[in-house]
Amino acid sequence: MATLTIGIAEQVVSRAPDRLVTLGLGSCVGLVLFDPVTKIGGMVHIMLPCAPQGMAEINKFKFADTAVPEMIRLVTRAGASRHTLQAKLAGGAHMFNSSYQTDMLNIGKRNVDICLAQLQAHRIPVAAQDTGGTIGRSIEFNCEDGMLQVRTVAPKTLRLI
Amino acid sequence: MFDINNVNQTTLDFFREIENIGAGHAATALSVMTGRPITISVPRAQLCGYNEITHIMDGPENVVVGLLVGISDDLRGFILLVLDLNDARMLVSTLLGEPIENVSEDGAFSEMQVSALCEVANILIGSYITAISELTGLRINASVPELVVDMAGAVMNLLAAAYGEYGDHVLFLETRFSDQGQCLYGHFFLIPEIDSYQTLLTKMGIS
Repeated sequence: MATLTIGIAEQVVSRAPDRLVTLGLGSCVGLVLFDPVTKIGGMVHIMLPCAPQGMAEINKFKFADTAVPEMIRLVTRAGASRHTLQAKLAGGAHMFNSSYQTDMLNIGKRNVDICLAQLQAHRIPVAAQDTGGTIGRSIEFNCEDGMLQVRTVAPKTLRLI
Repeated sequence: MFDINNVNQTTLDFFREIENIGAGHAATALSVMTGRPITISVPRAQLCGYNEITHIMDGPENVVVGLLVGISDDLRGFILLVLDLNDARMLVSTLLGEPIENVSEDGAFSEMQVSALCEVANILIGSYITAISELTGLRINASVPELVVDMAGAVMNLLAAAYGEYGDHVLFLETRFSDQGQCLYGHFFLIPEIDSYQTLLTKMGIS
C-alpha cells in the first residue's frame, strides 16, 4: 500500500490499496473521483473556481471548471468506469470571516459551487461532502473502501465520509 | 501589467527596503509595548511557489496564527502576518506578563490574549503601512486585524486565492524579531491586488 500526497494544484490517480492525501485545505477544495467497482480513484487539490479566459498555458488542475473534466478523463483512462464513477469533496472553507468581504475571501464557496455544477453537468453523483465553514481540513482517501477521512486541527476532529 | 512570475532584483530590493523601514518602526513600537529591547534581523524578500510557502511554515498541517489586515484607498489588498503557534504563545506571555503555561497549547486563546495578538498585528502591520505610505506618498487605510488559528496550508490559501489566476508565485517577506535571545519569526505577506502592485511600482519609478 502506498500513501500518495499531493500539493496545491496537483493531482494523482491510483487504485486500491493506495491512499490519496492532501493536507491543509482552506478555501481550496479536495475532490475525489472514484469507481467502487474497479477501486480506481483520483484526487485533485483545486485552488480557484474558474480558469482565466485567453491564457495560453494553464494548469488545468488549479481551476474547478477545468479540473473536473480533466480528472474524469484521467480516472477513466486508468480503467475506471464512467458509469459507476462517484465523487467526494472537502474544503472550500471561509478562513477569514471578516467585515471587509470581497470576492477573494468568498472563494471557498465559489470553488465548491463550481465543482458541484461541473459534477452535475457530467452526471457524476456526489457520494459525500464536507465543505464550507471556517476551518481548515486535511483529507485522506482510501481507494480500497472508498472512504474519505477528514481531519481538522483547531479543534482536533476526525471523521469518515 | 505587473507579472508576478517575473519580479526582478530591483523590485525585490525595493520590498526589502520597505521591510527594513517597516520592521524598524515595528521593533521600536514593540519595545515600548513590552518594555524590553527588541531587535530585528536582515529582512528577506523572495518569490515562492504555493507549495514552498507551506514548507517555510514547517508543513501544511503545522498550526499557525494568522493575523489579517485589509488595506484600501490608493493600495488595495491585504497584509497577512503569520506566526508559529509557539511564537505566538511566547509573545502573548511576554505581552501580558503571564507564564507561558497559561497560554493554551492548541491555540484556544482567551479574549484578552486574542486582543493582545491583534494589538501586535496592529502595530507591526501599521508600521509597514506607514513605511510604504511615507516612501511612496500613497494613501493606505488599514482595517482592524482578524485572527485565525489553523493549519498553515489552510491559512495560506488566501495567497493562492489572490494570485492563483495570475501565476504560480507569491512575494514572501520575512522579518525576524529577537527579544533578549528569545527569537521569533514574523512572516509577512504583502498581498496587494494585482493592479495595486503596478500602482506601487509605478509610483516608485520601478518598471
